[in-house]
Formats: sequence, structure tokens, C-alpha cells
Amino acid sequence: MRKSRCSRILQWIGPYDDGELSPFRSARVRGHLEDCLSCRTALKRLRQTRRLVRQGVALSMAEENSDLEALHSRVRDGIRLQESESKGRWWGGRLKNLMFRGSRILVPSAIAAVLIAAVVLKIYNPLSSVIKTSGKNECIVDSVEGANGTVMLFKTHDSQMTVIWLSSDHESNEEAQGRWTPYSV
Amino acid sequence: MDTLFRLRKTFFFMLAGGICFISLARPAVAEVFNTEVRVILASNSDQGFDPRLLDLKKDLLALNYMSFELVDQTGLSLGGGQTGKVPIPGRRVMELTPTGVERGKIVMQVNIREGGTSLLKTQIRIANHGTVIIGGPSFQSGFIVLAVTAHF
Repeated sequence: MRKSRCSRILQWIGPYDDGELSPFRSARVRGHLEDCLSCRTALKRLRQTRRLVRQGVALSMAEENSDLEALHSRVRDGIRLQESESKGRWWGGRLKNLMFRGSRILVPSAIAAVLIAAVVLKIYNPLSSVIKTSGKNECIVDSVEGANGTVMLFKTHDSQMTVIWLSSDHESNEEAQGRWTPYSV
Repeated sequence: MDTLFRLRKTFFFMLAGGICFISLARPAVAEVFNTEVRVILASNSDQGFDPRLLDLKKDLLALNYMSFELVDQTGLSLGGGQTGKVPIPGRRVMELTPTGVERGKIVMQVNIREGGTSLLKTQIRIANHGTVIIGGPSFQSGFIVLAVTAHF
């Protein structure tokens, strides 16, 4: 009798655990489980099995997910690689075109540009204009010799004009030296 | 098509070579140095300042003389190494010899002679369109000031 009751309860134990039984039947199962150790053990095993199954499913899903992510990553990398390769080929092709097919234009243009720049620099000579503007009266005295008296070098205050003064007998050195700023060497 | 391209290419290189030759050959052509020498008498007389020397007024007044009078003005066009002579009051002569251009400056040798004696001998490098003042030789009651301006 007990066996037949247990077998019926065991049929309902799964739906009981899922909460799918009617309140009346659920109360009957609960009452039986309080008295029957083997059915309680069966419920416990069922729950353990279900937990293990859930864990296993979750694990496999996680693995699947990670595999899927890795696959996505590989696909994305592949696409990127293909894109970069095709872009590289595109630039390579452009460069090749420019260097070889376009050399008929590029090389003469470069030479012409260099020549024009050389001619412009030669004509306008920006370096000399810098010298002109920076010191119009810039003068370098390389050597100086005086036969009589003393030769003195000065610069005027305003335009920094160089003065080479031959001090003669009529004017003493002190008089001449007092006139201007000494020449800075 | 190829022949036309070759012709164009040859023409282009000949043109480029020509331009290159002209631009590089230019410095080899003998340069002419234009030099202007103004002979000025500086003194402490009451003559005042000669209006023809206005561009040099500030520099000349720095010499602390009261009167500046333009005595003579000489322009010389000299080739490299060529010597030009400018007479200076007091039986003196100024010899100018531009020797070339160095870093945009005219290299010039200046020699002031009195008879057989050299009063002053100097080598200067003067900026293009620049002026240098050479002074000191006495004349009458004042001094001779020479303003040398050069350009090429």
C-alpha cells in the first residue's frame, strides 16, 4: 500500500517541486514527504539532479558564449585584416601609379620646382636682404694701417655707421676718442 | 606618342639645363661695383650744414663739428680688382679697389695717399648700399671726411 502510495507521490514529485500541482494534491505530497524518508530522499535527489543540470547547462552555455565571442573576434579580425590589406593594396597601387605611370609628370615637375626655387633665390636673395635690413651700414674692417698718427675705429650712435678716423697732428687722440662710441670688435 | 614624349622630355631637359646654366653662371660674370665718394669738409666754422648731406646728417653731427660742407662728389663704376682714384683737397688722393663680394658684402681696399706716402691703408667689407666714413686728414681749418657708399 505504502509502495503504491510512494509510486504515485513519486509521479507527482517533479510537478510538486515545480509548483505545478493543485493546492490539494500539493498538500497530500507534502504530508507524505513528512512521513516518508525514501520520497524525501527522492525529492532531494531530483533537486540535486536539477541543480546539476542547470549548472551544466549554464557552464556549457558560458562556454558556447565564449566560443561565440572568440569566433566573432576572429571574424572581425579577419575582416579588418582584409580591409587593411585591400587599403594597403589601394595605396600601394596609387603610389605605384604615381611613381611609375605618373613619373612623366612628377619627375619633371619636381625638377622644374627645384629650378624655379633656385632662380627665385638667386634673384631675390633673401639672405642679402636680411643683411641689408638688419644693418644697412654694417661694415667689417679687416685691416687698417696708418702712416702718421693713430687710426681709430668708431661707430656712430644712430645708424651704427663705421668711422675710420685718422688722428692727425691737429687733433689729439684724447679729443678724437671723446667724440664717438668705440668700435666693438 | 612615345616619340612626342621623348621630344618633350628632351626639350624640357634642355630648358632646365639652360636655366641652370644661366643661374649658376651669373656669379662668374664680372660684377660692377658702383661707388660714390663724397668729400666733406668738417670744421667748427659758422658755415652750417650743407643740405646736400641731409642723409648723413645724424652721423656727421655725431662727429661733433659745427659745419659740414660737401666739397666734391665722385661716382665710380669699378670692376673687380680695378682701382679708382678720387682727388682729395690737400694734394691727396683716395684709391678704391673693390675686390669682390663676400657673404653679400663688398670687399674693398682703400688707400689714401699724400704724395708718395700712404696716409691710411685699410681693407673693409661693406654691406651692399652701405656707407662708411673715413676721416681725419686735415685741410685748412678743418678736417676731411670721406663718405664712401658702395653697391653692386
